[in-house]
Amino acid sequence: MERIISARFDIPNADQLDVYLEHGGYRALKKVLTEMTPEQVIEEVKKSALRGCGGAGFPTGMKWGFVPKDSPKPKYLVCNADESEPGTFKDRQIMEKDPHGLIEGILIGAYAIGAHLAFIYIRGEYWYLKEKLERVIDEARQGGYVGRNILGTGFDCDIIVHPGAGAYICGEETALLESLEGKRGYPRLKPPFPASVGLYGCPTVINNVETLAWVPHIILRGGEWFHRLGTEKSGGHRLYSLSGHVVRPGVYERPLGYPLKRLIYEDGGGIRDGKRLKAVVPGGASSPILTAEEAESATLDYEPLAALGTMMGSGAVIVMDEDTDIVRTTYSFIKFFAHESCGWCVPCREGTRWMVKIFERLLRGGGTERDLEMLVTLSDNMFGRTHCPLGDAAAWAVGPAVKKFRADFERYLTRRGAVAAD
Amino acid sequence: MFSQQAEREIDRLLARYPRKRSAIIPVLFIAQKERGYLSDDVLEYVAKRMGLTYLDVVTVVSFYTMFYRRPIGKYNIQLCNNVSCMLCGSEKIQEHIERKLGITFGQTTPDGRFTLTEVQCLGSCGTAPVMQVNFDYYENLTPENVDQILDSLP
Amino acid sequence: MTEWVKITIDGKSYSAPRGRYLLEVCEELGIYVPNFCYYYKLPPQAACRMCLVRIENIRKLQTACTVRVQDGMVVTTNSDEIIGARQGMVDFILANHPLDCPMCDKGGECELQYMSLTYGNLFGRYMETKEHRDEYQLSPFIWLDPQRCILCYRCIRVCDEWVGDHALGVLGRGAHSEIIGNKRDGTLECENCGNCVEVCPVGALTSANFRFRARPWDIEDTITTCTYCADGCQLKLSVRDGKVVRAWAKDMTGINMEFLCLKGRYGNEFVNSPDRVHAPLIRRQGRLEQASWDEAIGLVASRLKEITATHGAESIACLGSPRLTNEVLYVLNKFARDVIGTPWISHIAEHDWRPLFNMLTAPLATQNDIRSGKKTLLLIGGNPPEYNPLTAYSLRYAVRENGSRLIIVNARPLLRLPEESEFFHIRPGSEPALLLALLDESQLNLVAEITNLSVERLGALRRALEESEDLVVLIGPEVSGAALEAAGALGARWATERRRVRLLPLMRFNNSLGALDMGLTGDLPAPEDIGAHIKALYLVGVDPIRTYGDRWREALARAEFVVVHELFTTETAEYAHVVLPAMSFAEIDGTFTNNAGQVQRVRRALESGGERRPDWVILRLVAKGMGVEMDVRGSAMAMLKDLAERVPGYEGITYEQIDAEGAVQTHRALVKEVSWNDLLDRLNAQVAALDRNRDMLTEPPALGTGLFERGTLIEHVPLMAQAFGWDGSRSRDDR
Ligand SMILES: Cc1cc2nc3c(=O)[nH]c(=O)nc-3n(C[C@H](O)[C@H](O)[C@H](O)COP(=O)(O)O)c2cc1C
Ligand code: SF4
Ligand code: FES
Repeated sequence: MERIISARFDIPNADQLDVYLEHGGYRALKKVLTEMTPEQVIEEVKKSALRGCGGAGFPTGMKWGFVPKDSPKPKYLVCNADESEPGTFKDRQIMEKDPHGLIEGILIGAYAIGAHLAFIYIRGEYWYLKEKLERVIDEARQGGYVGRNILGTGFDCDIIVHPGAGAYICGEETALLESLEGKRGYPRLKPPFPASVGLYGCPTVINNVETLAWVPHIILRGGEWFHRLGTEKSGGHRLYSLSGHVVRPGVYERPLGYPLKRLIYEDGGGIRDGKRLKAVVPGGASSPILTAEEAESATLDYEPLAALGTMMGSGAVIVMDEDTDIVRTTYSFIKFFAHESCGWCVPCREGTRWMVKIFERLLRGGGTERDLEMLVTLSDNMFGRTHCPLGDAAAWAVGPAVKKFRADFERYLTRRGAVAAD
Repeated sequence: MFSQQAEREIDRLLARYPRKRSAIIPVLFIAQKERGYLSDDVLEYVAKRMGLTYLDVVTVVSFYTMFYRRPIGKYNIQLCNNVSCMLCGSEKIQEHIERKLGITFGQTTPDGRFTLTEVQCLGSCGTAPVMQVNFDYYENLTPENVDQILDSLP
Repeated sequence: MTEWVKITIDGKSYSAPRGRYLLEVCEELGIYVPNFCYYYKLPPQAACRMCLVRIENIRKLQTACTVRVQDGMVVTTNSDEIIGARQGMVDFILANHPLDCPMCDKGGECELQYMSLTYGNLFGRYMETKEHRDEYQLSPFIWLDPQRCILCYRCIRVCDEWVGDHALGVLGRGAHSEIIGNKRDGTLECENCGNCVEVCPVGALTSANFRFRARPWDIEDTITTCTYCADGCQLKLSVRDGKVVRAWAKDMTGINMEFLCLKGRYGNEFVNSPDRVHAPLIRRQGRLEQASWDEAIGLVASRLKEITATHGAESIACLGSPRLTNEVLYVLNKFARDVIGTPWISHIAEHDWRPLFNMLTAPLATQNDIRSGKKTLLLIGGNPPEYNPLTAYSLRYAVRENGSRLIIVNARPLLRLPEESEFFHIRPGSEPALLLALLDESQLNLVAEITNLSVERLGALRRALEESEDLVVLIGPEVSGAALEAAGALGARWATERRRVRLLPLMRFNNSLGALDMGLTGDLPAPEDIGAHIKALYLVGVDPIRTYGDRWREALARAEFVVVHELFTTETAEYAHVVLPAMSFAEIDGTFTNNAGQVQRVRRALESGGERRPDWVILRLVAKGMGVEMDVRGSAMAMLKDLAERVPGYEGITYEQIDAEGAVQTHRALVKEVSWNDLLDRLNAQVAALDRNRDMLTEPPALGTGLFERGTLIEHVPLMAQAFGWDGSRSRDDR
């Protein structure tokens, strides 16, 4: 199978402008600026059926099309490089190994929506990548690819690399905008959506690193080509982050609709130490856990995963072997969500804290039947009722785990606990 | 308040964004680098520098985990404890470091050299377990290479 | 134009204005959707998730506080699903909340308590340990109990949006979030208006003066009008055991909606002060001694008669306070003119506003005029956040809600007004020149030189007025004399068929305008006059030493006879021969007229202790002692009737009408024909005399100058004295 977005990952020094140019770099940008109107670019991306790779899977072309053309306000493109979804480490690969590919995608996106300033919001922990991207942008600027009058076409666009400072919620697009405006990262009310009222109240498009990095390929080889690579509703390949108890963890470029099992056993080399599979989290911490049986038939695509009650998310596949204690992994997830809850809305703020406390009691050996019911109830009381999807994710991390792996949980119930909590 | 270079960098950042306030996070990183942590005085100064109030700045600072309001060790060992790392044995690494340095999460060694911090997913799940010492990544940790890493720090 | 759409709620169809928030629509239809973080006219938050409803064809439950009504919307607010969602939400809110309502100050009037009982689970389900946090004092006036806080952000929003103080924020993240004040240690440095306490739905924010002193069921509330500034807020005085225990404005639809300033909220406990004069005092051998009413009235009446007999009635000057009710001022005027027969009847005033009213060519602007619809607001001089806080709230509201244009002309930059306002920075004292520019375009060069604004900026200012369709001009006390006449004439100059003009004088006292209307407009004696041709002073609630300074000390010492009606033994009272104990605004009925000319009720909230009497009763007794039966009827209500028949503009105003409408605006006759040449001559003369070399002032006036100003009433509020470090009120003995 042809590797596309990861094709340059193995080329030495592909992060240098000359090497990048040697391998087809900035050709898509040139094509767009000299041969295509913004509408045509959007049309091509629509045809590709490219869906956002940040988690929500929204069709990218459609999102770009929402930006009002006649707005007198400046428009902005923001690249979401916050990559904080546990299990996800693919954007880091792109920025490390093919940063110019991302820059090119950003510039094409900016041209398509009429933006002259773009931001890369990168998580603070990736400081070395922030510095790297700044060097790469400088290099591109010197080469005439960024800044004023790009490639002599009269198109201006600058790129600012902006660091986050340790807040998962700032990966949520509107919280990201708040953070980028220098405020606390609380998610905004939607509507209005960022495409009409975004950064500084101006029309703004926010896209994941991978999403934007796909764009130059789509431009060069056509939307239809890209669509054909994937499934009916979702085009192309995706970068899957494979981690946990597999022999060969790593980032794999595979098509949409790829069988989960193949990823684990063929690409990942199977479960470590020859153990059996117990569970898989297929789309990052925000996606509900699958049992080994469910994983058996799962394909990595939006609709099939939704049918299994989980989701594609950021394409982060976390594999757990037969010895894994699902209580402890679930505790790890809920601790994460409690730690990262922004605290804005009641059910997420209070629900995650409450669940953490129940888990801590369970793990101490003070749990009762009732606690398991309570975890499910709390998860139901949170799900679908929070201000942003983080609360849903927290609920999803717990409810299904308790239901599907009840035996694991029951191991923690003790008579002593039953007495203590009564 | 800061070195000339830092002040120049702050000026550059303030001029860089369509709205000055956007520069708050990068400016705070500079301040933290200069002073090691963000004291009240530093926040007051940053507020003044940016045309904000102390309240504006302190509420922002407290939202983000990478800003420190108290002095911390010279080396901040940030160990990921999230699921992929956990599956790959981060708890053993934690125990090892705790035993080696005699501190637990949230503590600093008496000589002020190390602080041990529990952090959330660092985006290195494929090379778990992982830690960051200040801004540097150390991946595929084992008790042995942790020793080597910590011992070789200047 | 409101567009009406059809919506279905719980199976019934209704029509509703398109685009309104569903929650508000439900409320107006009498369908209650529980909520915490929603607050009228504050930006929606969707934080408490209590208002979840089901909307057909939408997968998730929606927050009614953020959804806008659309045609054909089908809503369910009451179903097992919704009831379950609410129960779940109450569980979450109560999780770490203390369950000790009997110990909490808010018990009995707590929204969470009500919500738990109505929408919560019968039994709490939270079994984990709670994270206790201690309560602490945010400011001398405000306490915070962080564990009770449910993070609805109402306090922050009210402070940001209404008060403009930006003094509160959230520290931390997630479950560690907590509300903090703007000082380094998290306490508050702000104007202490207490509006955050007012809007807090639970017992998290409480007022130092009220907390743990009373329960809602053992207090009685009376709605009355504030006794401080001329904006005239409506407030509820809560009385327990014959003492005022708080003032608040919750659920009120007065001109101030639910908001009060520091003084209105915390400035009322002077009423309870043990230092109040409680019986008549007569000076004997240099000391004020308690006396009977008969004796005191007898003495006053006989001395006034004697002085009239020896020096003539013109030797007696009567002075009233602009804090008195219209009814008292009306009787005082009658007393002076008819009983004593002197032309020296006036009131103390911080500023002579008469020129404005003599040349009034546009109606006065109410707070509602400022707040409703998009308009241009021109503020010349003044400092509303300090001296007319409600006006400042309304200005902010106008900019925020309607995108109104606020233009500020001032010699100093003002704090706490919206950032979006346009600032015209003029030379101190050059306000008359600015008014000249507004009346006479040909003089822009001269005005530019005097005001230090460029001709272009002046042109821009005039253009802003030309572009306006609805103009409100707010006039501060920096504008005086001919310039004030010019301000009055702005209506005649700028109003057109398509441009409405209204004026608002930023007067100082709660009844400044009432005092003018009631005719206390005679001349004010100068201190030199006292002892010369003025032999006696009859002072009702007036302390000229405090208002006008030490020159009055000697003046009063020279007077043959000084009577005061007072609440406290003021410095002036120390020169009085007789001090008569008066009742405070909280103890009487009557009316005040605010700076917009609106007449509002003053209602008796409690019994006055001691032997105090209303001022008008005292005046009638003195008259009787002098042998004159005053034509004054026996109640404040009847007096308003009389007054309404005689005072221009007050025609037909009755208690019933005020009770029904809250505030009734007087009809002021407008000047029809302005003789422009004369007016411009006077104005030019004033402008010519201006000092053109004064230095520009760049510093804003200090925060709190007006709000924290010490005064006769406010210094007797213990909390104020403590907060601002005023030396304790002197004890009775050393008077
Ligand atoms: C809690 C939360 C965290 C998120 N974190 C990220 C992230 O780290 N990176 C990212 O690209 N998208 C993240 N998203 C998704 C973004 O909100 C948004 O959908 C995405 O950036 C849009 O880009 P795309 O359409 O290209 O995927 C997150 C969403 C939520 C609700
Ligand atoms: S769901 Fe959680 S993260 Fe999202 S707004 Fe609510 S508290 Fe914040
Ligand atoms: S779980 Fe540790 S880096 Fe991802």
